[in-house]
Amino acid sequence: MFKDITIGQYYPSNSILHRLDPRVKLFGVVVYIAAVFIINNLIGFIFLTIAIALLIGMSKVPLKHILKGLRFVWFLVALAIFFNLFFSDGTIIWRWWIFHMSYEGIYRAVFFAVRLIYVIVGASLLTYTTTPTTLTNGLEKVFKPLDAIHFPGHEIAMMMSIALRFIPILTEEINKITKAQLARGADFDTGGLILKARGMIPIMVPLFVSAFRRATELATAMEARCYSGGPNRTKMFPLKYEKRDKIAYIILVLYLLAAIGLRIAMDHFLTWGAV
Amino acid sequence: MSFIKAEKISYSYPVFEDTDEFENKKKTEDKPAVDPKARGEKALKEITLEVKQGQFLCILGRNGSGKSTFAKHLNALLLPTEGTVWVDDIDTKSEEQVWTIRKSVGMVFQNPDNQIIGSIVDEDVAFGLENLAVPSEQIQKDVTSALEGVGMSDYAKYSPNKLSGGQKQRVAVAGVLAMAPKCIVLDESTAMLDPRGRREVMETVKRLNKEMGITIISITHFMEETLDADYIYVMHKGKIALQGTPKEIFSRGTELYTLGLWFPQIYHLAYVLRQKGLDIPEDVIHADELKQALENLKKK
Repeated sequence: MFKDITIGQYYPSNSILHRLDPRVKLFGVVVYIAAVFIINNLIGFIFLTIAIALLIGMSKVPLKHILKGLRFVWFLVALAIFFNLFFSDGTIIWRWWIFHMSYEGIYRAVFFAVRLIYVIVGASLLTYTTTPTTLTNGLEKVFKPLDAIHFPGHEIAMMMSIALRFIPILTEEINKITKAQLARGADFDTGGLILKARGMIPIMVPLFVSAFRRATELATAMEARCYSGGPNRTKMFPLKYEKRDKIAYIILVLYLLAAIGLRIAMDHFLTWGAV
Repeated sequence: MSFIKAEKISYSYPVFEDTDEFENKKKTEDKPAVDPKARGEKALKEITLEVKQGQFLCILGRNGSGKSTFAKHLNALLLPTEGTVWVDDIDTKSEEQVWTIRKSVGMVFQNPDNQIIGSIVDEDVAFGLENLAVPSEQIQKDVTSALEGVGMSDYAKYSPNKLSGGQKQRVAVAGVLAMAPKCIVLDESTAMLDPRGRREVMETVKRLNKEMGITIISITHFMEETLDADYIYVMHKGKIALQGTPKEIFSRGTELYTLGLWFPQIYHLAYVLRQKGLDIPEDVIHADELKQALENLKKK
């Protein structure tokens, strides 16, 4: 049941996006999401579409793979469209019971859906092109300046990487426990939603017990290997900026400025197509 | 030259008051609690032993004999309630030396999954070195040679989840080996492996013992693994019940049964044959020794 979650799973390749420093990519995602929300007109969205199309092309992740990953998001998108479409005020063009449609509503619904999809596609490009380990290394480095205010950057990164390491182990464990409980006559398939949810208890309880036991053992093993927390650690492969990373930074900053510029220009000179 | 010295160490697990209450309640309502840890009973009772540099030592014992508790004293994961443990002349109680001790006495645990921290093999091997703040280039070199040392170089970029149990344990050994320890403690490291994985791991550590002179302390309940040991301690109920070379230990015969241990297969076979009236010497423990003994019989 956990096998077909493709969203956010690393897609091995050797594209330029894969080779970029994770810190650049993290910054990139922030810039990209900011741009998605700054832009509020048709020309802006064309500009954004070109950007995301270029990025997907550069990443060498097949479009089909990305769209497959969006499967779980469609519901969210549909929900957002529904509410924007039928409950927006403005120039009403259609009305039935509590539902009403307006020009503004249609506009908002379309743009909202596009924004949502763009944000998810952009963010998932990060995880498609970055291994979990590099990503956590990047996060740790990004949070480093916050050490001064005692922000536990290293701890968060360590927790994330341990969590990622244990996902497949715990998944296997769930399968094992499920089978063990089935063998003891547990019933997971019949009954309503509540009954089914209650059926999960005999899986969740042993899972948690075992997870805690694993955590204790892992902590002992880490201590035995001289782990003493964040500071004074070194890395086998420390993150280093290459020339391409610096270029990427420049492009990203320019892109952000362009997005802001476009928004201001449009707000001033064009009145059509604004949301 | 003794490398590790334990002098009259005793240890009892801390008792938490509400556990006690709970246990007492359980005792009266249900059946008596059997977990000695919960009752504050001593897990180790006045253990004295000595390990020489370069030795291959085995500590045998059934479940609950205190052997794992003892193992955790060897690198200051636990500190004795009474008595003292010295590692390389350092008292394990000295807090500022704890990293020195853990660097020189590495430990491989039972469950391979619960001791691998990295999501990639080489990253996991590097974990200890990263903690010790070794420079990056040095880490890369040490990790490569540690993986070579356990014969896992080809798997450096693999995810640990893709490896077999025996391979995972060898990665764990590499993680310890990378820190250049003087001693490796195997705390039932083969208990969860299939026979092939068990053999892989034992062959690896035996080689490390012979070629690099690393002291090995293997804690186990598999008799077969102790055949090549230099010395064996048998633990029972928190005490050392027997000690000696493998031949000395196995010649104790049925006494081992009372300690909850089984003979190694070959020894058992020889024992049964002897019972049937065949003249086989008492100290046969290896397969080829038994073969030799049987051939000698044929000649007569």
